[in-house]
Amino acid sequence: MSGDPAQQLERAYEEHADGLFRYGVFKLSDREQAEDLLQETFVRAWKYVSSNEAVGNFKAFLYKIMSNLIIDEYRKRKPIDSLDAMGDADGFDPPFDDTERWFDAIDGERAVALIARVPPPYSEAVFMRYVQELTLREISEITGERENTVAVHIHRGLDRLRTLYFEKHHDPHP
Amino acid sequence: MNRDDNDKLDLNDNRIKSLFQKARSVTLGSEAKAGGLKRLREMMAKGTPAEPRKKLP
Repeated sequence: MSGDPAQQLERAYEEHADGLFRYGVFKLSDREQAEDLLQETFVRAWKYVSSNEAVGNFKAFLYKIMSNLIIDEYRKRKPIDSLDAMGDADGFDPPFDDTERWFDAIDGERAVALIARVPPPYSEAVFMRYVQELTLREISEITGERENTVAVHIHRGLDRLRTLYFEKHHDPHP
Repeated sequence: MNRDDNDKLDLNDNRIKSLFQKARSVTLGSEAKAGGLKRLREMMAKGTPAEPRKKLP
């Protein structure tokens, strides 16, 4: 990305704000917090680029900042605030006899929460690849994992997703 | 064909595709996005950190 830093960051906001926000919702299950961390991401990005530091891949750079902020947020949270606990309290599991209709009725945020219930690190790899549409290289830059490892996480994550939400609920003799 | 294309080939389950599609529909919303962009422009013009986002009461 070329041009002056302010223009670069403005373009980056236009292109990536929705995706970064969605990533925040995925990791935190909280729109308000996701919006706060999105803003803080761009504050930190501005501090960096305005000091004439070069950024190779703006998308990966922004996700890395957001990811670090989310890790900080996790450290502040009480253990009871985990996504699993929230999901269990909210009755996330679809009824065995009505999975298709239940699945058709869920909205975007519930779909995000469903993907988040695949165990880490697989859920994150799948989410980044298929929801955020990041490349293996970008995911590798953000997570610090090798590309091959990311690919393995994606494959395992897809398998877990199928098992958790579809095969399990269609097996007449679970 | 690169490795990214290869991993797409595994995604042949329409229900999972639909799940991802639904997840992609989660967005900031036009009002919040415009507000965020405004705060970003103000911050960059001043050269100082943005004012905190106004929250709903």
